[in-house]
Amino acid sequence: MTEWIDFSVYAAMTAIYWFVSAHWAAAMALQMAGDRNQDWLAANREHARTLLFRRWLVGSRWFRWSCYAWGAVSLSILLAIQIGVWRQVLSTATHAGSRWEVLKDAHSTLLIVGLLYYFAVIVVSSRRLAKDVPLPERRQATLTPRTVSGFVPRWFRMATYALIGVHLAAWVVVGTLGLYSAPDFWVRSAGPVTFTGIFLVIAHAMVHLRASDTLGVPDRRLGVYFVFGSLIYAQLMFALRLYGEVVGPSFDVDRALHLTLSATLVLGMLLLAFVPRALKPALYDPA
Amino acid sequence: MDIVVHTNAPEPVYEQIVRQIHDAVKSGKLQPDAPLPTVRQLAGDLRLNRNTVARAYKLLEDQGVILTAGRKGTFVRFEAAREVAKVKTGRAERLMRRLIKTLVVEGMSRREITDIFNSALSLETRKG
Repeated sequence: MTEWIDFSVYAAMTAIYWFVSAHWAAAMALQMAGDRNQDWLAANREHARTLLFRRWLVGSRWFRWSCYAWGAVSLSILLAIQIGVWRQVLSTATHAGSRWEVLKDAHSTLLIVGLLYYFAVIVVSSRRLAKDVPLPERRQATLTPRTVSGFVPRWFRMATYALIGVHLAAWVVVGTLGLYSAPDFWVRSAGPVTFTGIFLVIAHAMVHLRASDTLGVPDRRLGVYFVFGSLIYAQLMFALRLYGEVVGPSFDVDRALHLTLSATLVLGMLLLAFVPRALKPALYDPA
Repeated sequence: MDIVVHTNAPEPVYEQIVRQIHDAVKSGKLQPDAPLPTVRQLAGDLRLNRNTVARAYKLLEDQGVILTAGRKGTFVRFEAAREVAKVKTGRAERLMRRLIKTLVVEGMSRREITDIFNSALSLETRKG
């Protein structure tokens, strides 16, 4: 019965991703054009719309419909697994795990395959867009250096760093005292360290990036807060995993992590999906 | 304080950056020990190749206007204003010497050159 919760979260994520983000990609392409050269976009609005729908792929009808199709296929497969049809087709020999595991694996595989396609189209579109939209001849920049401390208050940074310190120390303590239940604890402990490191690098890199409307983050401060939020979120997720390492198989940490992450991504996508529309409503009008 | 570059101007972009930092130092907009953005930040904001900004910073460093202190960042040197003045004086001197050489080759005497210079200078001063 509880597999319906798993199915609902994964289905929501699939639906939101493939039915909403197809529109979002088109809006993002216009954001990118404006971000590259606002004057050019203002002077060539109609031409930009033609390019968006005909040349920049992400705005084309076939791209939107291919996203819808992938969404429909993904939803059908997830539903088939949930109601037991898929198991009969594949036979249980290929999947010895329980239904939630089959759902999780199928959802991950479908999402990864779809994302590879999606990002390939984004890359091609970005290249075409860079060719079509010239950079402005007059460019302006500040001579004031930007640092993380200029965007996030000291107390917030210190609290985040303290949380990271306590969390990573907890992994070391559990490992040193041998409180873990599975033998490959130390291998898995690389996860929190790697993710924390990556997020810290991204936080510092984001400060140096040019302020951009792309990805719906026109305010760099919002971007830095988002990365710090992700850092805190990652600590909480890995703390949950550490709890699972200590109590052993009685606590289904993988399932909880996947569901929580998916539910968070659904919320994040919903927020992001409506930001570009709010930013440039006059430009956003998919055919 | 902002910096503006024109990519279609006859003056190379790195020289535009150097000139504007000189002007900012001279006018006091950039005070001694003031931090400057990283090469990555400035290149990203201006949508330029990093090498262009790095070249400008290298030139400013060679001129003694700025100081790059590793990971701490890049700063305006305490003696930057003096160095900028020196650079400007040096450039003016080079221009003058080139002009004088040309005039000497054309057979002008020291007195003639001095007279022409004084007359041109007073004309420009009156205009200016």
